[in-house]
Order: sequence, then structure tokens, then C-alpha cells
Amino acid sequence: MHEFSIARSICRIALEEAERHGASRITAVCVEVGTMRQVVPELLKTAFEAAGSGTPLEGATLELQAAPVEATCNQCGHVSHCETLQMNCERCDSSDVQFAGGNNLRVNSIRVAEEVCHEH
Amino acid sequence: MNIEVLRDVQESIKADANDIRAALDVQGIRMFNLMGGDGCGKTRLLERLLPKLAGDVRCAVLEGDITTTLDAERIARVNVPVVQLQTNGCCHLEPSLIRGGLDRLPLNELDIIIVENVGNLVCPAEFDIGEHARIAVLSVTEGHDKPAKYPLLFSRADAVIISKMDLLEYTNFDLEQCARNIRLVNANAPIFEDSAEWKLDPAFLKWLAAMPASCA
Repeated sequence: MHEFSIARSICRIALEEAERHGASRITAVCVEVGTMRQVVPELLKTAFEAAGSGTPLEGATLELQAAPVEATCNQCGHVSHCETLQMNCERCDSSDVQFAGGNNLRVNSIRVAEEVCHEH
Repeated sequence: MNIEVLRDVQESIKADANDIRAALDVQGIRMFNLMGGDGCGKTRLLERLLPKLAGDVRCAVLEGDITTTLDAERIARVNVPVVQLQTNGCCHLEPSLIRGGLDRLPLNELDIIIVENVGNLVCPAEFDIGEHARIAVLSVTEGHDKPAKYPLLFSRADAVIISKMDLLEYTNFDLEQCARNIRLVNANAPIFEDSAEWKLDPAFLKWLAAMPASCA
């Protein structure tokens, strides 16, 4: 259940960025998750809700974007990008492939509520 | 309003880990992160390994477990400084816990620190704890499919030890298939075959001794 630790880090970064931009409410946080990372989306979302409750993140949605892993075929050299490690080379169908990358775990952006100005 | 952020989720953990590594570099200490599933033989490996290193290399151990001091007691019996890190339910170690453990070790009397991570093939792989190298342990009783099922731990390993080789004949473990599964995600890590009950792999001892202090 390392997702809670990751969720806390996501919340910390989102709250810092919102404060830096003077936003009082965050509506969404977009996070890129590499295919190699063993993050369970449902658990991360539950942990995110718990870690953000009582903060400007209350009610915010966590949007996860998969970042593909690179598979290089050891037989024909073809490089393909995939979102699962269970694959053969898409050109020659060899199972002799080498996976690399897909390690990203990055907060790409946040969406904040527009502040309504009541001054006249 | 959309705000671009582009920040690594684990930036603060990585910064803490880098601080630990830099502090160890200053002291000339190498730290190893020993990872593997529960019951794969990590503690047994240390019980056999540490007496072999005694005299040549000054070692200490940080023992990560969810609870109990059982493993630290085993390490203490081979006369090596050891600190038990209890995670109290957490499935992995993080730099903050490591720092607390390092504070309790006689750092100016050490060459090597081995951190035995919590027994788990998933979570520990996600966290840099300030180590110089990662060692993955996989026992033949767990099965040759594990590197394919838990790729992150094996992809980030600097060495892989196949343990409990003395039990090979009682299992359906396929060494060649296991090596292929490791190579899917890790092109370079040396793979050592070991049986702590019989004889430690001398090639692994050589690898451990050859790791320079500033290899990170």
C-alpha cells in the first residue's frame, strides 16, 4: 500500500502550486504514471481523496495518464511503445524484447477554480 | 484555470535520498538496499555473508520490518552493529526512517551498510532510500515467473541473487526462463546463484567488494 505515500506527495505538490498561484480550491490534479510503476489507480485515487480531505483539494479529481514503456526488439531492433509489459515485437513478433523507461511519476498540471471577484 | 506543474511526485524523497547518499560518500560508506519477497532468504543470506566479510570490511545492518525485532536479534548474534527499523504497518522503507537508523550506527567505524528492506516484491522498489546499489533476492521456491510479474524491483536491481539453490530439485523453477524474465527488464545486472545453507557464491562476494564508494 505504497499508494498512500505517493498520494501524500501528489497532494503536497498540488497544494504548493495552488498557493503559489493564489488559488483557494483545486478541482483536478493530472498525474503521469509510467507503465513500469506498480501503482494501482483505484488505490491511488482512494488515498488521494483521504490525503486531500480538509484541504483545498477536497473534492478534486485525480486524473491519471499512462506513460508507455519502450520495448526494443533484440531480434530486429524495432522500437515500440506499449502500456503493458506483456508483448511481442510488433514488427517481427519476437518475444525477445528489452523494456526500458516507463518510470515517470509526475504531476503534470492542476486545475484550479476560477476566483469570482466581488469587488465593485 | 489550468496550471502546468511538471514536478516529479517523489522529488522530496529523491532529495532526501540524495542527501543521505552524499553524507555516506563523505564518510566513504557504501550502502546496499537488499530487497525481495518475504521468506526469500534475505536475513539468512546476511547471517552467512557478514561473518565472511568480517575482518576485511566493517559492516552494519539496518533491518526493516513491519514489526518485531526478530531479524535484528539474528543479525546481532553474528556480532554486527544492527538497528531494527519498524515501519508499524508500512510496506516499505523511506529515507526518513533510514536517517533515523543511520543516526544510531557508529558511522565512522563502517565501510558497508546493508539495509534489509521489508519483505515485499512491490512497494520497496518504488522508493530510493539513499543506497548506492540495489540487490534483489529471489528464491527458487517463489518461482521463475516473479521477475516478469514484479518488473520494477528487478529492472532497478544492480545485482540479482537466486537463492535457495539447494532446493532447486524439489521445485519446477526454470533457471533459464528466470534469467530471460530478468533480462526483459534489466540488460546488465549480474545474476548470482546462491545457497546460503550450502555455500555463498564467491562471485557475489567479489561483486560486493568491488563496488566503489561513489558508484551512485
